Amino acid sequence: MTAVALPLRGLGSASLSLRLPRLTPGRLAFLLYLGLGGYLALALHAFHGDAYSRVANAYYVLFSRDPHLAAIGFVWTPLPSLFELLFLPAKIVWPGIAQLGLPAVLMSATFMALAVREMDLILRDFGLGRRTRLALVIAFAIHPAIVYYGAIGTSEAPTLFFALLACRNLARYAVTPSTASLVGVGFALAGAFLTRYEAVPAAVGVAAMILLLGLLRLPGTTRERLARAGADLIVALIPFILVFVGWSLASWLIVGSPFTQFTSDYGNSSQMRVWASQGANEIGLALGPSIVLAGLRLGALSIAAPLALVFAIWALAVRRDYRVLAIGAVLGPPLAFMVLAYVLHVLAPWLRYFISIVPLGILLVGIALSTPARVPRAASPTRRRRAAMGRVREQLRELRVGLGAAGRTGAEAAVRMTLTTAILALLFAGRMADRARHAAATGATGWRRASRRVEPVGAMLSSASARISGAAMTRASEFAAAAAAPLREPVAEGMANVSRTRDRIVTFVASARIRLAPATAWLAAVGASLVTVGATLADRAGRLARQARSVSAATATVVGGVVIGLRPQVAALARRTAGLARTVARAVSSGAKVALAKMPSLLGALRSFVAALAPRAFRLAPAALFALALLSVPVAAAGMLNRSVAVEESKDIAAMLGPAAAAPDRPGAAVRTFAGEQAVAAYLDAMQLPRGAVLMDVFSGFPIALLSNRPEQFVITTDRDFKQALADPPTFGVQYLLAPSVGGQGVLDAVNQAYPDLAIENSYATLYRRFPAIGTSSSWSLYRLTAAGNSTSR
Amino acid sequence: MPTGRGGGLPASARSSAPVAYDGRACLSCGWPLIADAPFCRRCGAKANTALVPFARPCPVCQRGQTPGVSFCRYCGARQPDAAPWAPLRLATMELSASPTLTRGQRSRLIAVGLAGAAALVIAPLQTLTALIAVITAAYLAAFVYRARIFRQSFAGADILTVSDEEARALAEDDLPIYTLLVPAYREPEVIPDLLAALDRIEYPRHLLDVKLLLEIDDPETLAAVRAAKPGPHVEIIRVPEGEPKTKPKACNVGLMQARGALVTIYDAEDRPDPLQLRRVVAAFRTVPGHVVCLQAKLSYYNADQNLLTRWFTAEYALWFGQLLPGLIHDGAPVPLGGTSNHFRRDALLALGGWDAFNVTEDADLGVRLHRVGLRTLVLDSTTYEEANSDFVNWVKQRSRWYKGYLQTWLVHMRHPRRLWAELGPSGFLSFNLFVGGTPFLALANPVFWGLTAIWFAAHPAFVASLFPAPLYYAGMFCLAFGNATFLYGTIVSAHLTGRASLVHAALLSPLYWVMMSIAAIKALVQLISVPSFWEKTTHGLDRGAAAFTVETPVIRS
Repeated sequence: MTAVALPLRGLGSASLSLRLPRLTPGRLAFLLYLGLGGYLALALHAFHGDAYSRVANAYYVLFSRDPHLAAIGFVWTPLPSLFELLFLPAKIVWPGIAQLGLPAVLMSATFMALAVREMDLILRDFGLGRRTRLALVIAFAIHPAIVYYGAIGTSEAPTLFFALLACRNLARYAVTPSTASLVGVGFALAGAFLTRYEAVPAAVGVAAMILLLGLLRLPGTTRERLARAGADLIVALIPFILVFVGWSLASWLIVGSPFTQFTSDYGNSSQMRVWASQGANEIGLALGPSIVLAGLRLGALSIAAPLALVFAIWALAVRRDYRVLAIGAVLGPPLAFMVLAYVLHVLAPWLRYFISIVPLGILLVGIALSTPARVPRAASPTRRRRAAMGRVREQLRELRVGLGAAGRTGAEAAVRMTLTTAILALLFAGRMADRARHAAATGATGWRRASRRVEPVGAMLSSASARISGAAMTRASEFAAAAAAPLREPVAEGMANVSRTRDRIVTFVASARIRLAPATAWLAAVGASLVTVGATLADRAGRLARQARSVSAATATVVGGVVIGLRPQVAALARRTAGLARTVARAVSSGAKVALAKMPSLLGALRSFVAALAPRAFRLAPAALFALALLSVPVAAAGMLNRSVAVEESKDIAAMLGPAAAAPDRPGAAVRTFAGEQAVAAYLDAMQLPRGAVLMDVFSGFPIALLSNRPEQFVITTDRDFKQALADPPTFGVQYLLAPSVGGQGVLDAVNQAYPDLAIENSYATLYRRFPAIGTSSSWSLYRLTAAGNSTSR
Repeated sequence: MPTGRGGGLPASARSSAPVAYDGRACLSCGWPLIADAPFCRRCGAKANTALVPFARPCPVCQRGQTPGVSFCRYCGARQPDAAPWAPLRLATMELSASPTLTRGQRSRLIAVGLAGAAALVIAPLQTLTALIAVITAAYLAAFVYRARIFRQSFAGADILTVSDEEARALAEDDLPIYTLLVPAYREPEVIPDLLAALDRIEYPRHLLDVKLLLEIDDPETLAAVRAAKPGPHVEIIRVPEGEPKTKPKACNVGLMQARGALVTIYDAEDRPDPLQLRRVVAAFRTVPGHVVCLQAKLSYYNADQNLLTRWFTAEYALWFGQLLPGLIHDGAPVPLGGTSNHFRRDALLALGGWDAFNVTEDADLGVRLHRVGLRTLVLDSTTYEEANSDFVNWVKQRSRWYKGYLQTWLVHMRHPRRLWAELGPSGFLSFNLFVGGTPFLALANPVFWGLTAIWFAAHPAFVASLFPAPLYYAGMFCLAFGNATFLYGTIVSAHLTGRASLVHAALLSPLYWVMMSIAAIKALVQLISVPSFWEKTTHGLDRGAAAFTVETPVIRS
C-alpha cells in the first residue's frame, strides 16, 4: 500500500548489515559476569540467598496456587523481580531455569554491564583520553566487588547502574543545564527507588544539589533563582516522587502498610533484631570500633577514594567544578546513610552495602584527571598586590565601624576552637579509657574484636606503609620546601599591609580626633577597651592552647598506652598520631597567637598561600590518584578475602575457591546450595499432594516453593487467602503445615508465630516428618493436621 | 485507491471535467459557485445572485487578477480562461460537517446502539466488560502512542528554523504578495492592538494584502477600524449575511478575494512574530513541493495572569513543542492550530478552503490536506495569543474545540476504508487517537476516575466483576503509568520553555484534566443539539476588570 510511505522521513539507517557487534567494555563485562554467574549457579550450585528469594518472588507471580502480580511482594522493592519475571516464561522450554537461579544472574549481569557502560559514558563526558578512560573503566569492571556482585544476582547491580545513570545526567546538568539531563536524572532516581530504598537519601542529595547550584549560579533575585531551581527540581524529582507514592500506595492498599520493609515482620529491622539476639554481626560493637571498621571496609574497597575526596573538595572550592557536587550528591548520601546505619547497628556489616564507594572513587579520580571545568588564573604579583590593597581598604572600613570587632571574633573563635578540641579530646580519652577498662574487665568486647579484625590488615598495611613512607617522606620534604617558598613572600607582604594599615589608622584617628573630638574620644575608649579585652582573650587562648597541648599529649599517651597493651601495630600508629596531634596542637596555639596579632593579613596570606600552593600540590595528585585507582583492584581482592573486612563475602568466596570446588553450606553463609530445602521439596513432590495441601511461610521457605516441581500444592504467604488459611487451615483444604525450626530466623516464620505450640504437645497437629538441617538450611518439620475442626479454636 | 503521489490528488479529482466559475460566491459558505448552478455544491444552499468578486492569480507571477482580464496587469502574461484550481473537484459535500452524520452513519450508529442495548439486556456484565475492554484498549493505545510521539520529538524535533538574518536577507523581489486573513466579530476594543501588531510585521507594505473580515451586523468593529485609519494595504471585507455564521465561512470569503501567493490567518487578538512572514517565505523555498502548510507555534502573552493561563500555556507548549513535531516526524496527519497557519494559496484553493460548518475548521483542513498527500511542517516562530483567563470562557472555548474534533472525526470516518487507504495504517491510527481520542478519552476519564475511587473506597463486588484480571492489570497500568506519563510530559515540555512558573503550574495539571472533562461533556451535548453553533470566545480579559462588562456575543471568534 503506497499510502503508507512517509514522505518526510529519510531511508538512511534502514540498510541491513551483518557486522559483528563491536566489543565495548560493557559487552565484555556482560560476558564476564554472566560466565562467572553461570559457573557459580550451574557448576557449584551456589546461590546468594537474597538473589534466590527475588527469583522466588517473581516465580509466585506466574507459578503458584494463586498467580497474580501482587504476589511479587512488598517487602522488597520490585525492579529486580520484575526484570527476572521476563525470563520466567522460558520455564516452559527449560524447566530448571528458575530453580537454578539463572534469572537473577541474568539480571545482575545485565545491570552491572550497563553500569560499566555508564561509567564509560561518564568518563567520555569528562573528556578523558582513550587510554586513561579505558584503564579506569577496566579498573571498575574488574574490581572484585563489582565482578562478584555482577555475577551473584543480588540487587547491587541495578543499584549501581541507576546511581551511575543519575551521576552522568547530573554531571551534565552541572556543566550545562538542560531539560534532557534532568529527565535522565528523574528516570534514574525512579529506577533506583524501585531497586533499593537507598534511593531516598540519594534523591534528597540531588534535591539539595540542584537548589544549591541554582542559588550559586543562576542570575536574578533569590526568589527568582529559587523559582527556577524549583522548576529544575520538579523535573528531576517527579518520576521518583510518583514512583515512591505509587509504590507506597499500592503497598498500603494491598498489604495495609505503606512501608512494609520497615514495619513488616520480614523486613530488615526484624532480621536485625534476630541477629542481635544471637549476638552476631558485630551488633554489640561500640561506636569507636564500628567507625574504624567502617573506614577500613571503605578503604579496602577503594583506596583511592579518601585522597580523591580531598582533591575533589579542592576542585570544587577552587575550580568551582560542580561535577564533584553532582557525583557527591548521588553517591554520597546513600553511602553516608549506609555507614551511619552500620555504625548504629541498623544494618548488617556486609561489604556489599558499601559498594558505591567503588564508583565514587573512580569517578572522583576521573574528575581529577579530566580537563578542569574552569582553569584558575595564576595569581600575578600585580593582581595579588591589588587584591591585598582592596582587602586593606575593606578592613579599614570595618575598623572604622568597630575597631575591636575583628580581633574579638578572632579571639572568640580561637578560644572556642581550643576549648572544643580540648573537650573532645578529653571525652574521647575518657571513652577510650572506659573501653579499655571495660575490655580489661570483661576481656571480650568491642575493641578486642575490632583489633582482632584490624590485626591482619594492620600487618598488611604496615609492611606496605614502611615501603611507601620512605618515598613519601622524601616527597613530603620536597613538598614542604616547595610549599614554604611561595608562602614567604605573601606573609611578608601581609606584614607590610598590617603596618601600613596601622599607620593609616593612626593618621585617621589623629585627624578625626581634631574634627570630632568627643565622639572619637568615645570610640577610641571603646576601641581601646575592646583591644584590651581582645588581648586578654588572646592571652587566655594561648594558655588554653598550652593546656590543650598537654591534655592532648596526655590523651595520646593514655590512648597509646591502652593500644600498646592491646596490639603493637596499632600502638605504633597511635604514637605517630600522638606526635601529629602534638605538632598540630603546637601549630594551633602558635597559629592562634599569630592570628590574634596579625588578624587582618592572615586571611590574605592564607588565600595567597592556597593560590600559590594548590596548583603545585595538586599537579602531581591526578597521577597519584590514577595509580591508586588501579591499585584498588588488588587491594580490594585482598580485602574481599579478608575475614575481618568482608565478613560475609570472604567466607563465601573462600568456600567457592576451596579445594572441594563446591560451596559447602556453613551456618550464616549468604551463598547457599539449599540442599536441605531441595530434600524437603523432593519429599513433598513424591507425596503427590493435592492443590493447596501444604501451608508454609515463604519468608524462609521460598527455596522449597521454588525447588518444588508442584508449586500449586503450597498455600504461601503471597496468596490472597493466606491469612484466612493460616487462621483456619482445614477449611481451606490444608492438610499439612510446614515450618522451620524455631531457632534463628525461624522465629519470624508465620506458621511458628501463629502456632507457637506446634512443636510441643498440641491437639491439632502431629509431627509427620522432620527434615534434618543440611548446611545452611535450617531443619524443617512437616506437621499433619488431625481431624478437621479441631484446629479452628483460634 | 490512490496510487500516484505526483499530483498529490485522488484519481477521481483529476479525471473530472473542468468546471466553469462565474465569479459568484455562495453566501452561505463563501465558496465559489459554478456557473448557472442553482445550488452551492459545497454546502447545498440555494445559489443567490449576489456577486462577490474574487481574484484569480496570474499563473506566471502569482499576483491576483481582476476577473475577466486577458493579460496580467503586473507581468503581462496571458491569462488562461479557467482558473488554475478549476479542474479540482473535491468531494466537498462528503467532507463537510453539514450534516454532522450522513444517512449511512446515522443508520450505522442506530444499529450499533440497538445491538449494544440488546446485548446489555441479554448479558449486561459481559457487555459492560467488553465496553470497558474496548475503552481500556483505547486508553492503552493513546498512552503508548503519545509517549512514543513525545519521545520522538525529544530525539529530534522536526521544526523548521529560519534565523533572523536569513529572514531579513530576502530581497524585496523574492517576496510574493502575502494575504493575511483577519476575521473579527464584535471586538472593537482589540482593533487598535491588532493594527499595531500588523504594523510591526516586517514585510513591504505594497506586497501585503490584509483582509479584515467583518460581519454585516457588526458596525461597532467596522467603526473602530475606520477610526484607526489603517493603511491602503488593509482592506475591509464585509462578510455577507447567512447561516452558518462561522470563522471558516468568513475566511473562505476572504480567500476568494486573496491576491497573495501565500495566505495566512490571524485572529484579532494575535501578536505574531514580526519576521514570521519572511520566515515562511524563506522556509517554503527549502521544503519539498508537497509541503503546502507551515504552522507557526502559538503561545500566550498573558501566560502569567493566573493559574488557568499557565496551564493553558503549558498545554500549548506540549502541543506545539512536542506533539505536533512528533506527529510530523511520524508522518501522521496534523490537526492545525487556529491561527498562524501559512498556506500556499493554490493548494488551499485546490483543497476547497475551510469547511464552513466545522467549528474546528483548522483541524479538519490539516487532516484533509494530509489525505490528498500534502504535508504540514512546524515553523519555529511564535504568535502570541490571549490565553483564556476565565473558567467559564475557557470551558466554552474548549467545548467548541472538542465539538469540532468530534465533527472532524465523524466527517473523516464516513468512509473508514477510504481514510485507511489515504492515510495508511499509522496515519489512520494516529487520526483516531488524536482527533477522535482526545474528546472521547476526556469524556471517559470521569467515569474511570469515579470507578477507581469507588473501588478503593468500598471494594464493591460489581466493580471487581467488571474487571477480569487482564483488564484489571491493563487498567491499573493506564492509571499509574498513563497519568504519570502525561503529567511528566506536561512538566517536561513546560520546563523546555524555560519558564519556571509554567513548571510549577504543570505540577497541578490533573486539575486541568478535570476541567477538560467538563468541557468534553458540554461538547457532546452541543454536538447533538447545535452542531455548527460557534461559541464565541471573549477576548480582552487580560485587560482588567472592565473587560468583563463586554457583552458576550454568541457566535464566531
